[in-house]
Amino acid sequence: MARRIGRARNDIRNLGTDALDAINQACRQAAVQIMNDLGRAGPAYSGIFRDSWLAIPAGQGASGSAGGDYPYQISDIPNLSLTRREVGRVTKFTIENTQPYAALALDLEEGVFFPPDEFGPIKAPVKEGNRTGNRRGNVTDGDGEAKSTAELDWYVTYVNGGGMQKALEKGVKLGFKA
Amino acid sequence: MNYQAIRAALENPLLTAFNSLVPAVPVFFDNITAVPPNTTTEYVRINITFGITNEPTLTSSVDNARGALIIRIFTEKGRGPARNQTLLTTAVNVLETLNNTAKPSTGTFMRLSEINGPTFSAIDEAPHFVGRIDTSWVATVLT
Repeated sequence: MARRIGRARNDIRNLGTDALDAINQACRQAAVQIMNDLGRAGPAYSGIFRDSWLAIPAGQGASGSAGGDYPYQISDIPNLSLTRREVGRVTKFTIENTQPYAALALDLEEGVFFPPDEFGPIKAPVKEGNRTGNRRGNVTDGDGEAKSTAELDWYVTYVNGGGMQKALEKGVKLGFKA
Repeated sequence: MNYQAIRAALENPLLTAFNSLVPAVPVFFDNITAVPPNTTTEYVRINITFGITNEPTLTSSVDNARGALIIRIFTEKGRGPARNQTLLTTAVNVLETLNNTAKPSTGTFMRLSEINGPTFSAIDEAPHFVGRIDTSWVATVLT
């Protein structure tokens, strides 16, 4: 009997439509939180990178548009299917940046950086001066024109340092409140 | 929270391991600007970042810091990945040893998560082939 109760408690088949919808809304809210965190923590020179985060549904049957501009709204996240099979899916969204230079902006790869002449960064730089080596955020004091608008390794710090977990918790709370 | 103790717990074993190689491989940590990016044949860059300093828990201990460790290995470009991978293995061995160390009664208790990578890259403008791994860490300063 105990086994049966335990199984039923965890079984998504026993949830009503309202509960299934609440789960989906919590996931969407969490995605918004994460995308806004990434936009806030990441670099923003022209703003194109910051506006290029996208939550792509992992399953089938999603509806609505994906993507928007920072700060992101819940309407920028697709609605997920309410079928029990899809609600039970472990991976709901893949959040990715669509810019081809995303790996450089995330400090995952090295590159050569040329600041655009026509405008300054739209976000206050965290460091200005000379770029040492070929990493985006590796800027130290000096006479150079290099500007870094996010700390080096900001993305890995966000994912590994507890920031993403906090965003998930916040999103789930918001989702179930709505 | 003793940030320096956490840094030391991560940096010291890595520094010891790379210094013990023959020849020793230079290691550069955060806020050391003297990295000669185009003059040294090979070197290691280690960055430690802090994500959170404490976490509310049901126990009395909330000094549970979390963050990321990023290790980049720079070796000569155009000579294949072997040397880079050898140095990466040195780093990974240190991290695995750290993870297998029993919890001390004093000092810093450190645990690492899965190690991501390695990923490799090389660009035309730089003389290095770069191998990169990263992981998350959780640390509690017990004293």
